[in-house]
Amino acid sequence: MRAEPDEERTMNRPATVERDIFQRRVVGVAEEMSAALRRSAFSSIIWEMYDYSCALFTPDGRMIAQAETIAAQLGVMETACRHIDEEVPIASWRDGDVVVCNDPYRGCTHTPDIVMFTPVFADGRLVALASTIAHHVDIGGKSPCTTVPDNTEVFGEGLIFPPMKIVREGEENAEVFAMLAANVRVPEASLGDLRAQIAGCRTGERRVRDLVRRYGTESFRNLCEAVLDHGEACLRASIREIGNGTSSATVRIEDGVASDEPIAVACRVTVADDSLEVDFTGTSEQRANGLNCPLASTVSMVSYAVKAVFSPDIVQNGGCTRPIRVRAPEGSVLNPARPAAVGSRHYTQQAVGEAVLGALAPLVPQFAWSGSQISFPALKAGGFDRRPARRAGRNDMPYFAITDLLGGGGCATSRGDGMSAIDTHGGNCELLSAEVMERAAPIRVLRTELVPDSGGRGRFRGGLAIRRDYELLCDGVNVNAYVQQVEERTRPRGGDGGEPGGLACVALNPGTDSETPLPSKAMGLRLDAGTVIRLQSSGGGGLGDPDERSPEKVDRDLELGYTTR
Amino acid sequence: MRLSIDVGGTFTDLVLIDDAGGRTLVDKVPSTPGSARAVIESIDRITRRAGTTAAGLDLLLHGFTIATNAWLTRTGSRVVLLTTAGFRDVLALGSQRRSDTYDLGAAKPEPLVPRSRVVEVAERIDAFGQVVTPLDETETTRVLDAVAALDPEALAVSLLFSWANPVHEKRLAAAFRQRLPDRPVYCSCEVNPEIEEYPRANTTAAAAYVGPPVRQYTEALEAALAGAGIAAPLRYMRSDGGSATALSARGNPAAMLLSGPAGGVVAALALGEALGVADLITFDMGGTSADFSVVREGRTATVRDRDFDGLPLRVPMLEIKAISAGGGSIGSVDRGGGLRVGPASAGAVPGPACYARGGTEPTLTDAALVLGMLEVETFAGGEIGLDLERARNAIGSRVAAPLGLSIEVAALGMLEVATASMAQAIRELSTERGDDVALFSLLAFGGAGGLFAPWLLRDLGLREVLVPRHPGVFAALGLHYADLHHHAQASFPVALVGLDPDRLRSVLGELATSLDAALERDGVDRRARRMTFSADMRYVGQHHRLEVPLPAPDALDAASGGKLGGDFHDHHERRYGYCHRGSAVEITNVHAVGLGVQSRPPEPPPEPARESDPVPRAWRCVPLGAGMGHLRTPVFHRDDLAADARLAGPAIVVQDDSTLVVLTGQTARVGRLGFIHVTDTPAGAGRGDIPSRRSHAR
Repeated sequence: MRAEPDEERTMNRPATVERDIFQRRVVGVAEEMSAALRRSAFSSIIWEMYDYSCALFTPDGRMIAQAETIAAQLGVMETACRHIDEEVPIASWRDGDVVVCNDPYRGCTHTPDIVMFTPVFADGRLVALASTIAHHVDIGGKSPCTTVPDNTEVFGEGLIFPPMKIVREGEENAEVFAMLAANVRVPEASLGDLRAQIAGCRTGERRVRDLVRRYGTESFRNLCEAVLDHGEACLRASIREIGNGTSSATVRIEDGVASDEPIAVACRVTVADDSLEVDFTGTSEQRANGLNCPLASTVSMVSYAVKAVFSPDIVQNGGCTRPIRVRAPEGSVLNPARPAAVGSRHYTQQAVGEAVLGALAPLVPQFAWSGSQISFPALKAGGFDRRPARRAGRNDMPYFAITDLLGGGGCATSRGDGMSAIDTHGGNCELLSAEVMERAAPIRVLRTELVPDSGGRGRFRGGLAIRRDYELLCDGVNVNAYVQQVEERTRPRGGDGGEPGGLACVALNPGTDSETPLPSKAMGLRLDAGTVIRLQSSGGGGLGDPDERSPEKVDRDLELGYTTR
Repeated sequence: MRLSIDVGGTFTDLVLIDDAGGRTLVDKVPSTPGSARAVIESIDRITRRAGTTAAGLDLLLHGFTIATNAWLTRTGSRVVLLTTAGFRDVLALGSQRRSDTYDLGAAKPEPLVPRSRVVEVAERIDAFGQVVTPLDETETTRVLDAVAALDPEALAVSLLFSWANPVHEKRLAAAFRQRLPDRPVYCSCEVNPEIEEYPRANTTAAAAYVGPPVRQYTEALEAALAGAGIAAPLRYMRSDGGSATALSARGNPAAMLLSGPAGGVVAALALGEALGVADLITFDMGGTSADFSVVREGRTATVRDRDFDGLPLRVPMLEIKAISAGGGSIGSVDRGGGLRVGPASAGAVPGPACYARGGTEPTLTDAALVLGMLEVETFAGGEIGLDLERARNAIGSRVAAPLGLSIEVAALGMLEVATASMAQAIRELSTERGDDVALFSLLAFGGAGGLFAPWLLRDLGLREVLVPRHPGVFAALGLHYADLHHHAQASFPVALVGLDPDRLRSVLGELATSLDAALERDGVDRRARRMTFSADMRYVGQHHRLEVPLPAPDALDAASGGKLGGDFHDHHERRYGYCHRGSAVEITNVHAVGLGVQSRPPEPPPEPARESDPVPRAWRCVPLGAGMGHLRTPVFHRDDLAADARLAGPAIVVQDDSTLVVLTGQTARVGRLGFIHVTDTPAGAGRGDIPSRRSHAR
């Protein structure tokens, strides 16, 4: 019973299949890094908000694979890598080194996002880089959680790491860790999360070495190139499908700190064969506030929007960015000059996503979409918890700090109505449970509900906004409340004859005689027990003529109370 | 004589075991889900084959997908949900997360209860259980009027902080029972007394949503069995790997939601124990998905919350990871010229192209057929004829031509891409948790498990592959090994530093009393009852929790807090590779599980040994060699393999409902209990190296 090889019919595995299997493996490595980081992380910002990413790079800094967690960080590490290499050349990295940077003016985003790289050596040769980026809950600065819209300089936004080795050949630089611990509000969380990032990188190193052992150095390198080329080919093929053209859009968001004039994000997209140019000429100049958006964040949101339109189902890598060119004028809010503050760049970053999507919309015939909410309602509160049940059995007065972020209405698309109550574009945060909040802070959520009629009318209706009312249970609570899209000129756009989405708002004591509307950036309020704060997001824009909406859908909306008329 | 009947979406699997002789009989018939008559007919068929009658059965074990299907197709009952005023949209808001970050046109999953059937109640309890806004008579009456007007089939009540104080939920439930005594009511303080309003409300709504269909089906089945003169006691399969009596299945219907894949894991645990294999990974591959689960040190992995079809469910379930790689998974080529397999599936209808039932997309089954791995005549016991030409055409036009490859190479590529995804799923469950996969056996079952397991064995460096005697009905076999389960939990938010052992003892005691009563109702003898306790614990300030075993209530003392802290750090270290011994730890919930240990079926008698080597029934050319070289490969039938038979790869072993492929350099051996063990032969490792380990410099 001996089987005889039939040599003539031997098949060689084709390069394409080899590449596609390899791609699954490298994405698998990034995902294992992500799991390692997440399970060693200390903070809920990583656990609940997924505000971190992991990726693998070629030794010259091109991204081979990324674990998809949060779109706002898509491709950020690639920008950072170029800057880091200029100052701490990759050629000088040794096995066991850990290199970090969080400088918004050296390819990073805002100071709480620490970018980390470690080299991967196999048989003494540098074969890849492992990288993680994570949002740290606090990196110092004048306010808890670091980011506040009214900073004017990056120096007010906590500790800045220039590109530097915080671990040399496996040896932690204790002085740097001590320095970090001395400059942040919750050292345990900062150090814990930083070590979680290291754990993520170390996992990546181990698993890449396994792969190199399996494939051999040479083959590993060739397969990395093949994977990058495939990413590029996918995107180019998709861009070519829509045909050449140019289109523009401008999206505005409230400034509310440095000026009454909204910040304008102007975007012109040009499709030329299989490549895209995204030009932000005409965008507002940088402002004396924290809403400036560093270039890395601008580029990452362009990548997000392009991916959403052209290749949502394609595995993202450095090849996907090759067909895209981004121009952001220096000194504008999208490419600010040092030392402009950038801590609250996420508001502007959402506007970048919305502007690129708006500019692309007329160019894509087979799929249509309207404007999404980018109102980003946020409540940040802190102070002493004087509730008797919380003070029971302890001598001190417990201090609390809490952040709540609300989603709103998603865009309508030619596939159907917009999603209600979602965090959009760059973010994908979980809604904080009212029970968890009241347990941890003297704040009672009185209602969390969809806002009827907030979805823009259209053949396809925009998604509905969220309204949340909070009652303070103690005196002297420090409250900050932020929201965008509170006025006509910033409202989510309707598409193809659809109506715009409903406006966002923030107010004190709604529905009473003492009702007080608040501005879009309400900072440092000191409020007493019994005060009710209302946060409401905006709704998504409608798409198409409302008169063309099917009667069944109109009836169903009325029956469910999504609309009242 | 005991019989298990596992009704799946496509097939109903039956395993009949004769307690006296140890004889096992299996059967597979097309399913008619929800039909009690079809169940009776299948019972008749198998008992007739066994030369006996249904009246002679001593025990009936039943797995069904009524609850799962009602959920997936949103055809559950008409539920009214009561919430605290201001929280009407708790289900519609969900977590506000998008399942796909880049899909602008995605939709959120449809809530189980539409907004128009949610009624708000003016009442409020605070975070510490104190009543803020009392629920008065007038409001109760108003709410009940509103509920009655909506004519619900079931009521779900999920008020804020009911886990801290259930008084309002209980009052509403009592009022409802009085008003509509024939309709079931489910309260969150009983279904899932745990912080976080959205998962709790959804779990409570889920119980109400599937409760009436489960009741209807089980009552109809019990009536039909009685009508057919079958008096054997009946047990239903639960999602946590346990079984339930009729009464307890109807009382806790959400526990049945994911029972489908549980049987296979239970069988793996029990038979692994009998074989002396304590660490194994189960691999169940059917038409639409591949399901994986880990048995570690002789224990199944359980989770208490997971998303099911996009909605959170908080009931104890076996931890099973499903990926969309089944026999029906479709191969395609993306815009950049990349080969993909899944997530789209041809399912059972229209099915793979080779089924000739209208399917035109190339599936993994088509690829295996093209490569000569499947037996045309005997596939699925001869019930499905396979059309090789259709398989070749589908792969040729959809995959091979766009990639410029031959049909065979494209087919092999599809299998390899699917294998890479499966390997990743296994790594996620094991390597990423700190396990050394070299110590784990891969127990492969389902129709296609044996086709892929040997590649995974080599790719991952697993210890061995185990293939049971009847891979296609392994899940049904597992029902025979399920003990009666009950679960109870209580919210117990307390820091370990301030742990009062008396309070913990009293909370655990209450849980134990309720489980004891449940086991008593089930008629479980005191000596067969087992009780285990555990706590969800975490570092203060962290979100994720870890379940840590607790001592029995009467073993708790003043030192317990410190000991528990140590246990938690140890668990954390084992699970995550690190711990913070200096940090404060807190408990969030406590759990109790009550088991009614059931008698096990006897081991099957050993297979007779034979003098001569097994004789292949056919030879085929299959690309199982190094560099994918085609090799003349013997095809054996499982029935021809005696105890201790050994086969050197390449070889194919066919049995009625599945196929096992043994690669070059691997050895298959028939071991105890009918299992085939496949191992990589150390001496042959070089010779039989599969291409994925070779370097392909180009």
